Amino acid sequence: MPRKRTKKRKNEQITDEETLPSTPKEDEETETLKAKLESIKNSPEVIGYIIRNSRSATIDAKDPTKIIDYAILSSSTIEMAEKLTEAFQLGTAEKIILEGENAKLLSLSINNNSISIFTEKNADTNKIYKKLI
Amino acid sequence: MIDEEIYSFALKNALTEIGNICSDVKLSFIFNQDGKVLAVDARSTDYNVERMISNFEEVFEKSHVVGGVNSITVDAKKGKIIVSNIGEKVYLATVTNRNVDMKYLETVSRVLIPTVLKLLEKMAPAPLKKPSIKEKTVSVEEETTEKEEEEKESPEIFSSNEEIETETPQIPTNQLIVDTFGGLLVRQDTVKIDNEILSQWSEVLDRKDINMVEIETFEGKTAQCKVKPIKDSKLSGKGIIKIPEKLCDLLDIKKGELVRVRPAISKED
Repeated sequence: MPRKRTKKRKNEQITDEETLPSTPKEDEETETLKAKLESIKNSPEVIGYIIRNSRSATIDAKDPTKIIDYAILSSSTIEMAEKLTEAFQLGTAEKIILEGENAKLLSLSINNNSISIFTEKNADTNKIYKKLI
Repeated sequence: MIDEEIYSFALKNALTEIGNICSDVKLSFIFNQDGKVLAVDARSTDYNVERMISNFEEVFEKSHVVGGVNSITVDAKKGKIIVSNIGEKVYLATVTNRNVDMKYLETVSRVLIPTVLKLLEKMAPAPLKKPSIKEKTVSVEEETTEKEEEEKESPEIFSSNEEIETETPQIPTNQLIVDTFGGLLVRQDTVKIDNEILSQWSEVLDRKDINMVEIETFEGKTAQCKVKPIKDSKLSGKGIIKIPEKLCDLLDIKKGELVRVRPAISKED
């Protein structure tokens, strides 16, 4: 069973990633998204990101102590958006932006991948969104 | 003294006016962070607004990591939901068409509603926020209620080179984020994961219960241990595995790291 494993620890960054084989097309899409996220991550205003699908997850956060908080907030936000769009019959949620006092969260779904990107408050989330889709 | 009813009436009129000015607004309502509905426009009455607001509870609770919630915008295929902070822990929610002029709507709503609020406050400073009825419940960890004796036994730790007998290609695997827990009465050989995952595994493997799991770290260390479902409903669907601190030390993993988790099925099974 082919597996890809990498783990990086550098300057308080932690990256864990693994992809288990699903369909080749899904793999390709996920890998493309990960490459885009890696590029986006290099922007100074990006604090971290989470990409999850049913089989794999990749988390990259500049402050590893906040990973759990990031994960819970992003999944709670996505869940909330799903419930509201269903209740108001607005169809699928394509993009969610949560702005806080110190940071922003951009969440979106591309195919089976749920993506959340945490940025500094001054970041242009629309620009980041366009890079991903 | 102006009571809440008059506040609500004045705000309802303001919301209805926003709907009249912006034809793209389908409905709007105002609520506070404690889950109390302060005002709804005429069109919101078709919906159970209180139930909608309950969906924000967890987001508000967890938003400390970004400094609280200033605004939330949900872009959906057939419309938008815009939630804006318009006062101390007070939010305006607006449901609009997809192509709404956001700048116009923001200008109208961010001017009109706070102006009405200020006017009402000046006329008679009745509080919009009541003390929260809901007491935040502290999640009680299973170990404190079950009064289990601390078990000295540790789960088996395998080195990365050892062959894992239980692994088969068909066994489902999930990547989960590590969260730790500890205490004197904690069983060191038991981890907790989402009941939904356990159910999925049971279904896939056609087994009634999954009692053991195998955890594999990215350094290649593996451990087999007992598993129980996470009882805290707030952690449901979050992709988290709760691992006792001592086991984390043995596996050399920390809170926030990812591990691969699969059901451990013995050959006899």
